[in-house]
Amino acid sequence: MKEAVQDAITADGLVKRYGDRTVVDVESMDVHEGEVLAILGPNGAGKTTLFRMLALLEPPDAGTIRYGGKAVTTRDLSARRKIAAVFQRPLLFQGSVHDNVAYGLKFRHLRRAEVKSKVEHTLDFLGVSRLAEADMRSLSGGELQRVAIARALVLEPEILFLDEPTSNLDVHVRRRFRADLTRIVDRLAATVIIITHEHSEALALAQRVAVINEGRLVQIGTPEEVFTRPQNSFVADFTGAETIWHGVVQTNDRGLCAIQTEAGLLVEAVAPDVKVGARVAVAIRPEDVAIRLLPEDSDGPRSSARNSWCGTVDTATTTGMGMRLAITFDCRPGVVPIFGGEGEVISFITRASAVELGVKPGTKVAASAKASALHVLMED
Amino acid sequence: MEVFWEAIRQAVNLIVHGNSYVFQVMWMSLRVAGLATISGMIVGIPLGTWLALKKFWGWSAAAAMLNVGMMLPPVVVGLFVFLLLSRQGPLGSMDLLYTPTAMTIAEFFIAAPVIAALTMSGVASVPKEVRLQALGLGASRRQSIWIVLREARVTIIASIVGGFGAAISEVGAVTMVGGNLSVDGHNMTGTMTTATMALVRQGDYSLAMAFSIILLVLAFAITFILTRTQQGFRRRWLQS
Repeated sequence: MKEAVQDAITADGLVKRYGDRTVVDVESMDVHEGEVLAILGPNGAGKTTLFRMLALLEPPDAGTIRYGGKAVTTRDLSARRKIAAVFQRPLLFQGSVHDNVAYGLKFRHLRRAEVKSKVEHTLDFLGVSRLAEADMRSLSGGELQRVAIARALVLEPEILFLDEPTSNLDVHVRRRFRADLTRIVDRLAATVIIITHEHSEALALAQRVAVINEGRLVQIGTPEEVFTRPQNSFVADFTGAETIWHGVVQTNDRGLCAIQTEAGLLVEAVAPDVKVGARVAVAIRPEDVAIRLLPEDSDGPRSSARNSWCGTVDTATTTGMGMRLAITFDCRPGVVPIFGGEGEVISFITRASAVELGVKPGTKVAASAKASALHVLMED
Repeated sequence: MEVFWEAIRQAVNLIVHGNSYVFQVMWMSLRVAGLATISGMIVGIPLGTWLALKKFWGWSAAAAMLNVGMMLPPVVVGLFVFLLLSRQGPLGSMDLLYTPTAMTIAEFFIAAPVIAALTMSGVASVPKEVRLQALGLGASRRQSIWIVLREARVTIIASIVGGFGAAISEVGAVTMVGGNLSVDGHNMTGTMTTATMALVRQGDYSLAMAFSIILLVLAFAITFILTRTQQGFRRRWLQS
């Protein structure tokens, strides 16, 4: 029998306005006990404001927050002492590393010996005990953030809030710090809420992901659900489906739909629940689009794949891991290809493939994708 | 030039041999300015902190008032306190005019706005997230304000130095409400500034010079101690 999931936090009707602007408007949200929830969204989506309200640092203009079923507010000190928050910038107070890690314990009026022992244990756990008496100004970005984490962990919080803890770090430090964070979160018997705008961070750490856009919760689910079954074109776009086409469902044969896109392409996608005539968006992740070379005089792709389109490489951009190609199709008259939109598909291939195929702008290629790789999203 | 050196020579002589009048006046100056600064801190630091942390309707007007208070002409303050304490004034029955208490009140109105305005500026310059971070580690409201004050302490000490400096160098208001009185050579309400002014009028330059030197040394010593404390905080912060 499936165990009932306890909620560490539930939020209902949360609204926050700054002047005339509504920055957060979340109808309902819950955080399960013991889970790691990533709140994912672009800059300015309202993530930090939501974080501050959930962490009882800022009062909402409307709505209720419950910790373990009990309504709580920013004035509820005992509730605030169940949590610990780590901010994007490691805001260390004046004093040594030891002093900083001890602050939260001193707020709780713990005995000096107990404070000392807990601080030493936490610094040791995070591998920074050698920095206990160190000059703050001499610490690196990674060390500062590690001390900021230690300052929160020493409190043994029931709920740990992390606001973009790695975004202030250099790329190489970030990678190492993220690995450490994964280790810390795994060992921690606490509910963790992590704010991030990076998919990789959410995928590496979280058991569930909540996507926020313009202050609203647009999707919440496991990383697999959110990344492979986005519920709308924003989530699809934000989670990396760089190609989004719009069109109308022509047929639906037991879940295999034929969709006529605005650029005139007829594509096939697996979508059991859509009706014929419905307006939909089709999202495709770049890594799901394969390419093969076409001879110059080719009149089109010859392949068993249903979604195989002939086009020309418009741009080829080398990235760290491979090459991102924008492939333009011959569109319906009057339709101008848009980058990643109508009349164009984005494909991501490895460096080895790029070298082997010798693709460059102007190369004629056939791009193909499985019907199951095309995500059909109902238009709002 | 000879008069100048003679005055200095006599002044050093008066100080070295411990002239009792000089010490009475010195003590009066320190007592009045010290009490005014302490009262200014008691009122100014919480007021400046409150204004820095709270935004409310009319905040701009309140902050502007405080800044204006920093530049209050001492004579105006003196007149205000004089009218307040004079026999016909609302506090006339307390019979405080021409007493050290009246002088302390006048100097309080000069020191407090300086302390409040500089504290406001210091606390406001601490990032808002510092307080949120303290709250996020379980600080009570009071503890979180304490953290912010600790972060702003270098500026707060500067505000105390400024307040004390304004109080101890005050002449106009103190003369108006204190009167620079002495009875049978015993100082009643004279401070080093008011006494210096009176002595210059009487042509007693050596004593006036003695007071000026003491005032300078005193102002320097107190400012030095406070600045050292301030630098100590800064150094400890840098080393921590």
